[in-house]
Amino acid sequence: MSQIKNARPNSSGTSGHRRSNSRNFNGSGPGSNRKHNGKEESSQKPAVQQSKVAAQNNDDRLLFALAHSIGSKVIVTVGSGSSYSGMLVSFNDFAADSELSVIVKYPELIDGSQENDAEELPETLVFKAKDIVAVEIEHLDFSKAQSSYPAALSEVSEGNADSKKAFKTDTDISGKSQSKERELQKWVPEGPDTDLGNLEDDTHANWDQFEVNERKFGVKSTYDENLYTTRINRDDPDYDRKLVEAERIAKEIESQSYNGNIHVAEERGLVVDDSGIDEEDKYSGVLRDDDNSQNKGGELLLGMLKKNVKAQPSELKQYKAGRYVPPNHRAANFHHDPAVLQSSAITQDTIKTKKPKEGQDLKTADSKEPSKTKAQKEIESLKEFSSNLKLPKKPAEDSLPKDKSKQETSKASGSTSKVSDESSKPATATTTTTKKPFKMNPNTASFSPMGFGGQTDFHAPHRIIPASGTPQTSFTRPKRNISQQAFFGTNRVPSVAKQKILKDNFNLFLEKHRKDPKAPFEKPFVTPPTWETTIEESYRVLFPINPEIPMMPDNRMFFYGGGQTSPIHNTSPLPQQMIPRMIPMIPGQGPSGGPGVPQTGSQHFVPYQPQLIPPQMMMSHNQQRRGYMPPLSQSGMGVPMMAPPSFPGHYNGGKHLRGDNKDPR
Amino acid sequence: MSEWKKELNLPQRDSRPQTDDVLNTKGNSFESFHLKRELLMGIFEAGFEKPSPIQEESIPVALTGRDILARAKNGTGKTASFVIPSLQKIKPKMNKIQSLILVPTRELALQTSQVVKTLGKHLGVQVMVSTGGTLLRDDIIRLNDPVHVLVGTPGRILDLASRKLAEFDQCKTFIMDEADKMLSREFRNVIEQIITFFPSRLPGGANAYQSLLFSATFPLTVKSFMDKHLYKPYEINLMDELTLKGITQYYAFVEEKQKLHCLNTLFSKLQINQSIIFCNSTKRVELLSKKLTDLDYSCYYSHARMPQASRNKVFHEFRQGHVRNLVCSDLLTRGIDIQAVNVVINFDFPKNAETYLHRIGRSGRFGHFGIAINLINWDDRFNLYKIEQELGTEIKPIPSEIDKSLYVAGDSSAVPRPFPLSNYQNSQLRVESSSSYEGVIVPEQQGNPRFTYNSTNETTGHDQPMLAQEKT
Repeated sequence: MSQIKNARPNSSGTSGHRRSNSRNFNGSGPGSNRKHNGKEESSQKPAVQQSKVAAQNNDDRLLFALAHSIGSKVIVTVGSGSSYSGMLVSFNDFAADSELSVIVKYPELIDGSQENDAEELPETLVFKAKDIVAVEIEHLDFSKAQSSYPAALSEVSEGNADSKKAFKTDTDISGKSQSKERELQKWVPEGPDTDLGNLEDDTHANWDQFEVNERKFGVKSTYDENLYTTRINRDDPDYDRKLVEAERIAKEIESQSYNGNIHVAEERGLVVDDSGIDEEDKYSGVLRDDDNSQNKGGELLLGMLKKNVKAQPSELKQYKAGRYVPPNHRAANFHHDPAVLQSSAITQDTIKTKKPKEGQDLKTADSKEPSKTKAQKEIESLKEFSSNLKLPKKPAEDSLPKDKSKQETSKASGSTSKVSDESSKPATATTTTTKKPFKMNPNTASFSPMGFGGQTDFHAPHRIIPASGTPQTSFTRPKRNISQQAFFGTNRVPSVAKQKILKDNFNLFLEKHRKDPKAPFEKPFVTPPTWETTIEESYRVLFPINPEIPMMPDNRMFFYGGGQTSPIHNTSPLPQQMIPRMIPMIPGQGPSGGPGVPQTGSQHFVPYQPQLIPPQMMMSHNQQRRGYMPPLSQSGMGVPMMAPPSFPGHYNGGKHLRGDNKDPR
Repeated sequence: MSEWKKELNLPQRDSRPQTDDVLNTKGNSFESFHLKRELLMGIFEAGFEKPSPIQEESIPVALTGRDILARAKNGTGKTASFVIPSLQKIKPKMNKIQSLILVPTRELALQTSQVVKTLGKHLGVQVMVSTGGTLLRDDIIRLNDPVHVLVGTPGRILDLASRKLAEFDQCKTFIMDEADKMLSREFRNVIEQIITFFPSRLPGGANAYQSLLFSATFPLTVKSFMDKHLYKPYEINLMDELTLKGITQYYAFVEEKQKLHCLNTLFSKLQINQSIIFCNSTKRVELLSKKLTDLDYSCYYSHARMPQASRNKVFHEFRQGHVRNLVCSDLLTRGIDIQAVNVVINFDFPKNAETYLHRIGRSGRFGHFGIAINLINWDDRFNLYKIEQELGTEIKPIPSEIDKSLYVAGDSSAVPRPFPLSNYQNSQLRVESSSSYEGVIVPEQQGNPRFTYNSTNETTGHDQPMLAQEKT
C-alpha cells in the first residue's frame, strides 16, 4: 500500500513543527510507488535548510499533494488515537492560517473505539488542526495531475479532462463517417416458399394475448404491483377517509387543463388524438427543433406543443363518460375523417402554413392575402351565425351600420368563388367545423360590427380578433339596439324583478363594492382605446393644446359609477342621450379623433369621465380650464348615461355620432 | 473476507462472456466507494461484483454531491450509477422524499423502482412508483405514508407536486434517466415546472440539490438545460463509439410481403434465448404477435394503447422469462433491461438513429453478446444509410448461417431475473408445476436446451435474489 503521511502536531504549529511535518511527508515519499519523481529528488534538501523559502516550498508541496488528493480516500488520525477514513473534500488554506484542517465526507471510524456513537457519524466531518495527528492518503497518483495542474486544481478530479473539451452529441462521437450508399443484397428465401402473406392482410388484430398464451403455452401472470411500489395499507382505520379525500383531489387534478401538453394529457388518462404521431415520436425519438419535415409525426407533435395555449382546438376525444369537454373541443367527437381530426388538432398557425384540404382557389387566396381571408372567414362565420340564429324577429335594420354591411357584401362578391358558393348555400355545421371549429360558438356574436367599438375596418392589419372566447362584455352591446323581445323571444322576456336580480348579482362592480366598499377598483379605462387613429401615433399628436385636468380620486368615481349606473342602465339604456353631451365635451379639439377622442395629457380619457364624474363637476372642470361651459342638456345631467363601465361600449350605439365625426375627414 | 460478507445471500454467478464495454475498468471495488454496509449488502446480493466503467466514474463524483451529465452505452450499468449514490445519501429516518427519478415511460419507471428496491433492500428505504395509467387516487393515498425515493413519469409527478401532495423541499437528488428524451421538447416544459418545487438555489449559485443526468444517446446538445439548471456539471463520456461491442447487426433486404416469411425463417434457424421484435405501429404489433402465436411461438405484445394493467403484466412476465418473445412498439425501446434477450429484430425499420441505437441495445445487455436483425424494404434503404452514417457503424447483409458464438452464450441458466421465487410466496400467483413448461416449448426453439424458463430454479427452491445487473 502506497501512502503519504502528513503528520501535524496537536499543539500550535511553529515553523519548526511545520518543517518536521513536511519532512515527515516527504520522507514517506519514496514509499509511494506511483511516479512523482520531482518530489523525490528534491525531498531532502529543503528539509535540512531552515530558510523561510524552504518552508514555503514544503507548504507548496503539501498543498499540491492535498489538492490532488481531493476526492480520494484519506485516513485521519486524531489526538485521541482514533482514526477515521473518508473522502477528502476540502482543506483550509494552511499557508495563511498556519494550521492544516481537513474536511472529510462519509467518515467511518476504523480504529479506536472510545466514541460510543460511532454509527452516528455525520455525513461531513471537519478535523480541526489541533486534533489532527496524521493524515494518510492512499493511492496518490500525480501522473494525471502534472499534465494539467491548474485545470485539475479548479476542476478537481476531472478524470478525462483532456479527452473532451465540450459536450459531445451523437454525431460528434460517430464522427460523421462517409455516406455509403451501396447496393443492398436481396434476401433470398430458402426452401419451400411458404407464403405467409402480408402482415396487414389480416385485419382482425384483436386477440386476447393472455388467454391464448395461457392456453397454448401455460403462461400465467405473476404480476403484483407491490413488487414495484409501496404497499397501500388498506387496514388503516383512516383508510376510508383518506380514500374519499384522495378521490376528490384526483378528480380535481384530472379536470384541470393539460395546457396542450400531450404527455401530461396521457398521464392523466385522457385519450389524445395523436393520429400522425407514432410511438417512436412519443417514447423514443428526440424532437429536433430544426427538423426538416422528414419526420411528419415529430412535426405534428411539435405543432401540438407550440400552441401551448388555453383555448385549444379539438384534439381531445372524450374518454370517460361525463368528463366535461369544452364546447370548442367537442367538434372532434363528431368526425371520423382523420383529415378532419388532424386538421382540428393543429394550431391556427399550422393550419395557415400547412394548407387545409380545400379547394385550390382558397389556397391561393390564403397565400396572397392572409388578412383578407381572415376577414372573409369572419364574414362567413358571421353569416353562418346569423343563418343559424333563430330570432323571432329580425334585428332592426340599422343595428348594422351601413358601411359595414356594404363592405361585407362587396367583400363576399369580390372574393373567390369558393366563398360566394358557401355564402349562397346554407352552411352546414360540418363544413364549418372542418375549417374553423369555433364557428358555432355563440361568441361569434362578437364579430358583429357592434362589437368593435365603432371600428369598421376589417382589413386593418393591427386588428387581431380572438378566434374564440371574446370577452363577455361584448354581449351587452347589441342588446341596446334590439328590443328585449327581439333578444329573448316574445314570450321569454324576463320580468323586471328578475332582470334586476340578474343585473345586480352579476355586476362585478356592485359585487366588489358590497364586499369591501373601500377597495380600489381596477379602472377599465386604463386600457388604451383601440380606434384606428391612435394605433400608429400618440393621441397627443392629434391635439396640439394640452390642457391639464386634475384627476379625480379614483374611488370617488367608482362610487358614483358603481352605485348609480347599473340599475338605470338595466332598464333604459339611453345611448343617444349621451351624444349631445359628448359633442360639447370635445369642441375645439378637432374632429378627427372620432368617438372617444381622449382629451389630452391626463391619464383619463374624456369619454369615460362623463360616465363616472358627476356632471356638475365636469362642468366646473371645463369652465375652469377653458372658460367654456358645455351646453349640457338636462337629460344628460339627469341620467348619467351609463353603460357598465365596459369600454368603449356606449359609443357603439351612437351611430350618428360616428357619422358626425367622420364627416370632416 | 469480513464477517458480514460471508453471510450474504449471493445469487448464482452469471458466467456468460462479457465485452470491454463493461470490463474495461480501473479495478475499483464497491467497497472502495465507502458505502453504507447495508447498501453494499444490497449491491452484492443483487449479483453485482465489481463496478462497471460508468459506475466507477460516476459513483465517487456523485457522492461528493456534484451535478453529473453522463453518457455511456446501453446496458452498461447506468441505473446503478445513479441509484447507488442516491441511496447512500438517503436518511431513512426522515420521512420525506429525498430522491426523485424521472424516466420517460411507465415500464421503465417500474423497472427502475425495482432496481432501487433491490439495491436498497437492507436500508429500509420506501420506494414508490408514480406514473399515469394507474389510479391517481392510489398514489395520493400512498403519499400519506413515508416515501424516500419517488420514481415516475414527469406528467404524473408534476400533478402531484403542484398540489403539494409530493413535496420536494427536502429532496436532495434529482435524477433523469434517458436524459435526452426527457429534455425533448414535449417533456422539457414539464421538467422545468417540476424543478421549481425543488429547494431553491444556495448563495453562490450552486443548487441546493444534486442533478444527475444519464443517457446513452444525446442527438442534440443539452447545453441550454445545462446552463440553466446544472451547476458545474461533471461530464462523463465513456463512448468513443456509439454501438455496443457485443452486438452484431445484420440487415435482410426484403419485400414488404416477404417480411413474415423472413421472420419465420429466422425463428426456425436462430437459437433464441429471448427476443424482442419491434414494429412501427400499434396495429402491426398486434397483428404480428397474433401471427407468431398462430405459428406456435409463445409471444406477448405491448404498446401504449393498451390498458396499463396489461402492459405491466406483459412487461413483468417477459422480464421474468415466462414468455420467450415480445412484439412491441417503441414504447419499450428505451432502458428496458432484460438480461436474457440475445436477439432483437426490427420488423420495421425506425426513423431516428437514437431509436435504432436504443432498440438494438435491448440485446447484449451488460456486455454480453447478441444480434440485431433489420428487415429492410425498398423504402427503408435511405434511412438505413442515414442511420449507419449517424452512428458510424456498418450493418452487414445477413449470412445464411449466423455464427452461434456471436449471440449464444455458453450457459444462460444463471441469467439474472428481477424477482426470485421467494418474493412470490405471498402472492399466490405461482404456476403449479414447472414441468408444464417443458412440454409446451415450441419445437423450433426447443433446440436450445439452455433456455429453461428458470424452471430448475423453481424446482430446487432456488430463492436467491437476482437482479438484472444493469439496464440502460
